[in-house]
Amino acid sequence: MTTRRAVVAFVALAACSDPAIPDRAGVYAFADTVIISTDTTVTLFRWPTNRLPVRFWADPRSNMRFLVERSIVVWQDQFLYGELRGIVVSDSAAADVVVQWADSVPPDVPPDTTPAANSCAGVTTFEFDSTGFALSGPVRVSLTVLTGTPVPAGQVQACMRRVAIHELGHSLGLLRHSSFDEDIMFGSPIVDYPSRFDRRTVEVLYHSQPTVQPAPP
Amino acid sequence: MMSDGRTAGRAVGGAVLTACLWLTAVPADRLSAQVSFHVAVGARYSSTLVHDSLVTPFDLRPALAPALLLSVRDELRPGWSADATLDVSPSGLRRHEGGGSFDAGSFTALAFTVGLQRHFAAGVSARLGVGGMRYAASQTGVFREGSGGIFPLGSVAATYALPFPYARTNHLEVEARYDVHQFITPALRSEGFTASRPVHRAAILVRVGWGGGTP
Repeated sequence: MTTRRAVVAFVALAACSDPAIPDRAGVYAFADTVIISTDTTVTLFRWPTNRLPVRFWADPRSNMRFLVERSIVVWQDQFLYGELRGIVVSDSAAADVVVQWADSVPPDVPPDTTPAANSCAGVTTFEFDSTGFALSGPVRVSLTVLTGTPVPAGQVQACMRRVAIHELGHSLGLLRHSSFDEDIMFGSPIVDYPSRFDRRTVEVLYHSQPTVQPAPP
Repeated sequence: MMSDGRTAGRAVGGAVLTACLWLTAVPADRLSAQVSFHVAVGARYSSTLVHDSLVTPFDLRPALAPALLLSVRDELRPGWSADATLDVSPSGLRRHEGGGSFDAGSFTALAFTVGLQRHFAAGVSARLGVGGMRYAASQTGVFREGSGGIFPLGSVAATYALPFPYARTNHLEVEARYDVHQFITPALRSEGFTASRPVHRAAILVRVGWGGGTP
C-alpha cells in the first residue's frame, strides 16, 4: 500500500502541467522613428547577443566609473535569462559606449537622500552611418551638472545616480522616454531604480528584432 | 551570492552529518559486512526549467552536465538494500530561442535522497528514492532573488552490475537514473509566474563501490 502511494505521488509530481506565461502589460514605446531619404522607418536598436558583454568606458575623473558600474549592474539585474552583460574597459578606443562628464566634474561625496532636486542632466548620442541601419561609432553618453541655483554636492550625486541609469538605458536601446514618472526612463527621472514597467520594456526590447546594428568592434 | 554559497554548504554539511550519524548508529560488525560506499560519475540531461515568451517563445534549459553521486548503501536483507545519496551536478544554463542557444548563467544542483533498492537476478536492480534538491547559483537571472529553497524530489533508477570478476569485486555498475522535481524561484514569482514547473532529469552513470558483500 505504501509503495502504491509512493508511486501515485511520484506520477503526480511528474505529470504536473506547465505554468502559465505571465502577462507583461505596461510596456512603453522604446523604438524611435527616423527619416532616411524619403522613407520613415523604425529605429530599433539593442546590443546583439554576439556583442556581449557591452564594453563601457568611464571618464576617469571623480566617481564616473562607480556610476557606470552601478548602472550596468542595475540594468543587468532587470533580466532573467542572461540577455545583457556589460563591463567597464580601460581603453576608450575599444568601447561600445563612452561615458564622460560634459563640463564640470562633481565632487565624489555621499548622495543626499532628501527629496530629489533636478540638479543634473544627461545626453546620449547615436551616430548612424550613411545607410541609417548601422551605427558609425560608439554610443556617447555625457553627464552634466546643471548651472543656475546652487545645489549641495550630495544632491548632485543623488541626481547623477538616477541620470546615469537613465542614460545607460538609452545606450542599451531604450530610445524613447516613458510618460510616467514612476519609471527611470521618464524624461526627468525622479525614481532611483527601474520600475517593473522599465523592466518589462527592456525585456521586450532584448527579445525584439533590431533594425539598427552597432558599429563593428 | 554569499548566502547561496553558505546555504549550499550547509546542505552538503547536513548530508554528511546525516551519513555520519547513520554510520555511527550502525554496529561496526554490520558495517564491515553489509555497508558499502559508492561513487558514481556520468552525464545528465535536464528538461526545461522555464518556458517563457517575450515577443517569441523560448526555453531556459540546463546544458548537458556532469553528475557526481556519493552513496552509502546498507544491505537490509537478501535482495534489498537502502541507501543515502548525495548528488552534485554543475551545469551551464542556456536560453534556447529562435533556433539559437545563448549563455544564461550557471548553477550547481545539489540533491540528497534516500532510496530503497531491490536486487533481481542477473545483476539487475531497481531503486526508488525520495529527497530534496536545491540550486546553488550566484544571484543573477532567475536566481537573482534566491534559489527557491529545497524542492522535493522523487527518483527511480535501474542498475546493472557488470558480470566480470574485476567488476564484481569493485561493485562496478552502470546505472540509468531519472528524477523529477518542481522548479520555481522568487524572481520568477516576481515576474508573474504563479506555478512551478516539473523538471525531469535523466542520467547515465558508472558506479564503483567499496565494502559490503558481493552484490
